[in-house]
Amino acid sequence: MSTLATQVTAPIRSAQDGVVRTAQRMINALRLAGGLDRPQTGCSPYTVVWSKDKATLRHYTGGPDGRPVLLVPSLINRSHIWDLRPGDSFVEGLQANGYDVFLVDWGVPDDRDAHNSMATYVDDYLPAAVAAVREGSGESPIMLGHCFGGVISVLWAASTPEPPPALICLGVPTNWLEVGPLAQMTRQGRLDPEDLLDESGNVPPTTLLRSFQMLRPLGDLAGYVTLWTRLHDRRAAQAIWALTDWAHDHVPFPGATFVDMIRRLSRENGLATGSVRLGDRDRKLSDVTIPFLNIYGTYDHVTPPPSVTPLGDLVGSEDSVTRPLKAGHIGLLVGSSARKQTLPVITTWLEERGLASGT
Amino acid sequence: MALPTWVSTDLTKAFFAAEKRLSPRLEAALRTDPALDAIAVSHAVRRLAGRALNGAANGIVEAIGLPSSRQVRRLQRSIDGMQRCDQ
Repeated sequence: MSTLATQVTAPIRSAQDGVVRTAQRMINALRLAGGLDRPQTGCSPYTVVWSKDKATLRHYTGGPDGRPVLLVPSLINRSHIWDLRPGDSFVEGLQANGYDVFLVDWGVPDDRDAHNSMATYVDDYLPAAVAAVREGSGESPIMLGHCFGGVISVLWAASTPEPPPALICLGVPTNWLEVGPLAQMTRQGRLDPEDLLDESGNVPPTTLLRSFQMLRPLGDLAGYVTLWTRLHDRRAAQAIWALTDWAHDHVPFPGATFVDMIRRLSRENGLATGSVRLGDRDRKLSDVTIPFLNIYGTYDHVTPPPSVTPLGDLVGSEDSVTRPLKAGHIGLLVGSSARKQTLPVITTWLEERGLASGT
Repeated sequence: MALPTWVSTDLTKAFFAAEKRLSPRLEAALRTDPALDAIAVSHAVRRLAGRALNGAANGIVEAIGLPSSRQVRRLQRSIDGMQRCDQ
């Protein structure tokens, strides 16, 4: 009898659930669209301890006075991806493991930054930021670079007489023959890098966004469908919104750096050959002799595994480890993949080398 | 006869099944020579059109004696250059 009743009422209950869920979706959609319930991003407290032009060095406060770690974000997006939301923050994760966290924020370039070349970041901003960390904490920071931030970090490590105690690269494009269609087009001469600059002399954010959309043409649509399916869950919807908003919020890319990037890294494939000429000097990856960890995401669309994996073998370090993680390009820094994979892999690797926070 | 996986009554599941099948093909199609040529040409056309439009707009603004974005940008660059020299 009860089975029969269950069978009869099941469609009604299912329809009821559907109505409740749709109503919840509508409420959450209106809240998000109206800006009443948008997630707060980049909430961890910090102080700015150094700045030059647009670049600033953030010192995250409220954490332990452990070994310093310097996070080096890419130039393409905003740096708050490292501290996306409370509870989903790489910064918080490192602090929880006892590290004293610093981050270089490159700022939002405008006309005045169009002449900044790759050498400006490698030889000027980054060494100055590292010196500021050293001055503040009394020791050299462990370096952690993501994507183009990793490129800057590794080229700096190849150039400096005072290298950091360890360098960790996350999703760093090394073999540019394997990077997406924009690199392919500029490498083959269909476009010159200068063709992509706007009146300010920088690459506009819309061009960058389009080039990322070309990597995964249905990616945006899939993202919106995912948002719709999770919209009834307020916390999940906020998490998706924060990430989607960040992914569409590019900043202008400094023109001279873009030209260098296409010429030196894409056309000459400098990193893959082991030597990149910046300014008047060759930067040889074989000069990177510090402990080196190369992490890549097996689902990475932006820097696919074949473009990242060569880096570990190109550096001169005898202690070079390459680790694949089941994550995408951004999943290396946010979400459960960052909490359950990236952070434990990094902290364990550092502990094994005597670089744990308290040692 | 079994139905293809993307045929489903659940629209979300159907979308993701179709996306999984379509995406690799689209991504590969975008890397072919004709697609890259088309993108390069469309970029060049957009750029030319944008420049022509901007040039015309600046010309009109300047003709009526108002400062155009082109002039403001030039002025800003001169000031930035002077500031750099001072530093």
